[in-house]
Amino acid sequence: MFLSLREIKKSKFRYSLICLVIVMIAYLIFILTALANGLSEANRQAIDSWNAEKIVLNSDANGSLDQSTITAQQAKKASADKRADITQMSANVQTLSEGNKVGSQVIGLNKKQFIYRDLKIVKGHNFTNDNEVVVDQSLLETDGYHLGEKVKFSRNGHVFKIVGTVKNNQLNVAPVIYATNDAVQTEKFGTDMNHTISAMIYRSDVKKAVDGTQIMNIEDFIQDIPGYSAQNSTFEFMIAFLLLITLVVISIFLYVLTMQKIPYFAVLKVQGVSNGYLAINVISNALILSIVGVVISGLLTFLTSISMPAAVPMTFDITLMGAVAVMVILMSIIGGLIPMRTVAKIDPAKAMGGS
Amino acid sequence: MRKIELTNVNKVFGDKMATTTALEDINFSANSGEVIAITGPSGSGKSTFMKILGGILSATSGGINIDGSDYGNMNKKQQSKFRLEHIGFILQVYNLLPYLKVSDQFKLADKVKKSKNIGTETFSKWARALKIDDLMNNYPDELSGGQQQRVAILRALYTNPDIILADEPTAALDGNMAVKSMQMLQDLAHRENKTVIIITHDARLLKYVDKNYRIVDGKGQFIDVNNAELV
Repeated sequence: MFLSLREIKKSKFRYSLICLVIVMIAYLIFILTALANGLSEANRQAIDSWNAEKIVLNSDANGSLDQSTITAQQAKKASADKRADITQMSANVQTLSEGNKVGSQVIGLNKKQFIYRDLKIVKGHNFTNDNEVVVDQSLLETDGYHLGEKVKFSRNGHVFKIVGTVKNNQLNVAPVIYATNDAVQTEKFGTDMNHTISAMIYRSDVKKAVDGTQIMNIEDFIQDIPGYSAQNSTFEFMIAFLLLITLVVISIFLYVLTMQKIPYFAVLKVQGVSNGYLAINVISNALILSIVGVVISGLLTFLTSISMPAAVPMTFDITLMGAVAVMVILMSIIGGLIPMRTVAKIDPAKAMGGS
Repeated sequence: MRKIELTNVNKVFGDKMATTTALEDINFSANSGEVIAITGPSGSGKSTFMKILGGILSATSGGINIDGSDYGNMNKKQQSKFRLEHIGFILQVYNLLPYLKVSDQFKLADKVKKSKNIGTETFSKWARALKIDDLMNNYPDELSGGQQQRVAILRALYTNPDIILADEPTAALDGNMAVKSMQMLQDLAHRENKTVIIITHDARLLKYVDKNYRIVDGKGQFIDVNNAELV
């Protein structure tokens, strides 16, 4: 560390440029991580908020909530232990004047079951009748709706009043609107199809499926959300590739710097300085550069997080960012190990003149 | 007391197809408290001799004994540790790390050899004698060649070595400072029983050495120290 700190202090410009490259890569990794995390959460937040273990869907729905219908007879036969029935509908919420249309996921709930009971209302109150809805806060924050506003889901649809909001409740990257099952069923199927739900959510293990239904683990169900796995894999690949770029960039820079220092390392070897001490010097350079780079990019990421509009699906999770930072530093250390062979092979005789 | 002894040392470069004999049957000894000049024409093998003496280069054959240790047969790591503790080098070039201030060059020595370095008082005295006491906050690129070489001399002495190996230590110094530096090395050898071995082409310095070991075409012998013509 002694040599590294002084070397960086003396060659500020050279090391600042290297650090700048690390800052940019680390910043890109942080932003991509936040975006991946945000999009992932926007797909699954509502499901996560239910704290459920299993979901029962129609066996022909192929794991899609949108395609699933469970009849009243099937629901009656199914276990009622720790169960919440939901009716899902994809719809554009709009004002009474048919303006401000926002794609949303409308979820019907049974007021006697756990999802309704456990809704964490952050503003207003929970809905109490078929004419009221609770909405995800993003509808108020980014889409201009307000508490007490009357909304509908189609031109001639029923009118609902927004009575409360919940936080972090999105599904398929759309805000969730909670209403009663009866209200959603009426909107979705009309009065003739009353009592047909979309799925049954369980907080207990369900062993036996009723005829015509399938039981899925919640995590499997989330993985089957259209585009969810592909999107996550894409981001994971990009982040992994950027970490690899960090490794390559650091190792190239340190290799070039080490090559430039060969005559001086040779002198130190003549003086009896061990390979280990010189190796620690190279690793320290990598460590200092990566830590400074990660801290600066962390600050930039923080500034980005507070200035980014709420509509951008980014979630800055400290633990995740910490893990990414550790990975960047780890890659730098591995990058610092690449010139080790060069250091070990430096011939001290090169420091002395003559034949 | 016998400090260094080289017996029938040979050094051959190259492979079976083409070989060059750099040193041939070298027999050399140096005692504690002696200053020995290594002289000879360019390309005669002086630097090869110094590298073998310092464990930087392995001899093709022959024995190297330093302070009772079979130095020639130590592995690289052992030789490196031995150099750190017992040998001080003054080289012609690249003596100082460009990114360390003069004071840090000595701090680095403290980092790699944590004990038995010279004390603060001795350090200050020698720094004043070499006229580098005012240069402690300068980087090497802010110093003249002579100033750099004087720092390098003190850097070599800083670890308090028993043996000092110097390759043209006064080449970059003006006449007055060259003499002062030589007097200092001579004083060090005689007063503190160090062994100082110096490669030099400067005949003026021979009056400060006790012996002159002349190498010509890889063969060496002790000659009359007053024979300046042979330098």
